[in-house]
Amino acid sequence: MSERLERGVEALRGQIDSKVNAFFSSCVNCGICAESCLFYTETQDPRYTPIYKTEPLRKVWKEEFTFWGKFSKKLGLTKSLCEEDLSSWEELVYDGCSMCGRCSMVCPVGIDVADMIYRVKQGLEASGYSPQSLVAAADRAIEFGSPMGNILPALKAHIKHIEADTGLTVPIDVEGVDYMTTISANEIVTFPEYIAALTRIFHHAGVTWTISSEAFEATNSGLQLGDNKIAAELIERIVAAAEKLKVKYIVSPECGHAYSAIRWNGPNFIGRGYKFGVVHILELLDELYHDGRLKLSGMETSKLTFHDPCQLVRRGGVDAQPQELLASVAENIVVMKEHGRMNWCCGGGGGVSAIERAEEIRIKVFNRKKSQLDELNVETVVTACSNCRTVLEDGLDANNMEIPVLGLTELIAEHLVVSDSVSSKSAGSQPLMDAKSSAVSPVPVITKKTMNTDKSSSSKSQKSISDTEDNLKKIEGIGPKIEEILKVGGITTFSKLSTSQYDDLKALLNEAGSRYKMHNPTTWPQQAELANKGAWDELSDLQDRLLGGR
Amino acid sequence: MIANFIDGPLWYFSQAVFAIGIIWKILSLIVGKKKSDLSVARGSSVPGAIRTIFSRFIPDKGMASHIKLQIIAGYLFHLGLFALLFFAAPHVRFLDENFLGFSWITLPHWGFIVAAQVAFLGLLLLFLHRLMHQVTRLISSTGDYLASIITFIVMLTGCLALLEEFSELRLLHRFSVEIFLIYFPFSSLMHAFTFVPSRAFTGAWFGRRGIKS
Repeated sequence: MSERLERGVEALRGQIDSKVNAFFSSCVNCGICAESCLFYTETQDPRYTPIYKTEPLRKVWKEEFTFWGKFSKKLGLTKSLCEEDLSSWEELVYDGCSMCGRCSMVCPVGIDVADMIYRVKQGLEASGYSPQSLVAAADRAIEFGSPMGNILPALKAHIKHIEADTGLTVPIDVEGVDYMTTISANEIVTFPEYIAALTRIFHHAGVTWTISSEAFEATNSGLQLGDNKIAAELIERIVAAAEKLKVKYIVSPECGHAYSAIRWNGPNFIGRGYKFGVVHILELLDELYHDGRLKLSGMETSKLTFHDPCQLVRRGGVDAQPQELLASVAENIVVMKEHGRMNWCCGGGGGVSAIERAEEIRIKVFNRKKSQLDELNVETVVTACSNCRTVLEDGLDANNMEIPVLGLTELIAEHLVVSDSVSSKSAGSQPLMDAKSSAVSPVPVITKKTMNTDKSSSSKSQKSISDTEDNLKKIEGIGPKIEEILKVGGITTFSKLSTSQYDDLKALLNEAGSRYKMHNPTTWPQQAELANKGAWDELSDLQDRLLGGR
Repeated sequence: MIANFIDGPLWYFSQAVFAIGIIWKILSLIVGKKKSDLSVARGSSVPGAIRTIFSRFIPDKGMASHIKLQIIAGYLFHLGLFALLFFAAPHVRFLDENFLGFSWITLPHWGFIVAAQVAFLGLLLLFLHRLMHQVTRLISSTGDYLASIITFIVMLTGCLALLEEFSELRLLHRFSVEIFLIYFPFSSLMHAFTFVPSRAFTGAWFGRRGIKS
């Protein structure tokens, strides 16, 4: 047995407890869980059956914890877990499972399959069979504090803009306040408007709050990877910051997995309870709303639906709050046939959206969400998770569906009753809720302007991908959306891409919107040159050495 | 000689294996390693566990249309088997005379036949589904097939044993039951007991998070 296999088996063995014993003892392999999994329903590949993804764990359980397993092993009749198994299951578990937990809701014998898959992840990670993009993200999180690297300067820049725009102060490292807000990297890089919304809402409601410059990042790459040590380290940073600032509560961002990490998994990762509470931003907003501290006015009239983030609703228990909050600002809400705790995942949770090689299957399984949206024919999708939001936008773009996706917190912020103190840029940072503030009915935020949010959509109708164009997605780092941006920008072939300058490519990405600014095109011309020459083996070798095209 | 063995030592042995196997398994689940949850609960785990133990008898509405065959066949088989096991006159008489000392209402002969047909139909449909559906074909183990076959044989010999004038047929049924009892604790047939703790574990997990599962 190789050392890495031994590490994997040891880690899997360590996962086996009463729960796993009860689950595997009860499983009759009925296959019902397959029908609950969008990776199976959309691919019809039986390997994506949720319980099948736990096979490495089952093998260890059977061989070491059951009579027949031990007996068969003695007789040499058992095929023990091997490296090939781990290698094969890496793709199934990481790329082919968003940890949405829908399977756990339908198992007739009550198996929490998602929990078991997370245990398998831990075995795979221990043996080194985990996606490089997730490993690199976790490394960056440990080294720089965020899976996207050092984004503190970006956060500070956004804060500067927000303060200039709103006239409010975003409190950084303030001691003794009630709430310490955490933010996900995706919100900082892609949806900074979320931070602006928080600033306005907290000011409006008179909430005392702060952001810690030492631990603002809520994303937990350790949880996505299945590395509890990294997960614990990241949680410890937040806990230390909260204790240092003596806050009463940590506010989790919308991001569902970040909420799970800090609210539910965190104490178990670090082996002790917290001295403070943890509240999801929507729980807090709902509480403020019911306390009368959140004065809202105006209603959205466009037909919209809410996409329930799995880790928030199904696995996190924040179920009623999003519905109530949305109903407070929108009057034409329609629900998907399967919604709430039985909603279908967007397909990008559990780290899937961070795995470059999983892009193809992620877009494929998005068909489930597409079907749900097609049935409703809505004008807008609202959600409460920045990762879901990105994945939804990608999926909608890939399917040429022009439906804007909004964050619920931002939508709430747009409907705040504007008081004089808030609207004035010279209002300062004193949290003051003026119940008698002059109400200004805001215009619904979902307007024609926001309906056309896709930066490249105006060009879509003119675009016609001819036969002479190359499939630029063969270049690592380029997905369907970036390919479209490049082609709209005139870079339609490997040849053109190979002669493109870094600055020109970067300009195209920047122009396409903040979501694309993070992409690094440094190696694209080099890769394109090899593709143009037909040197596929060399390209493959190069891509093996690259990480997300970098 | 063989009859004495089947009615005597093998019968006691199989019962002992069955009982000890189940007690061992349940005890191992109760006293086995458990991870304590240090997060602050939003709801209660006990009501969650109780809820899920019962709620999983009813399939999710949205899922039902996708798993019609498994639901119908599953219910046919389990209800038929339950009726045969606890309401077939020979079984009630046997339990009364050997274990309990009291009896209860039994199925009429036609009721037995109907229950048996229902159970056979369910079992056969589930077996065919296991063989023919790409998912179950991939995930099923030899043990799953063996469990189905042994159960089928027990039911078949049970029907044959209705012809009580042939004691060999009763003996054959008892022998198949003994094999079944011995195999039971080492197989997925254990789900008949472990489904309760399994559902309870999951229900408790969801319950403390304030989620109905």
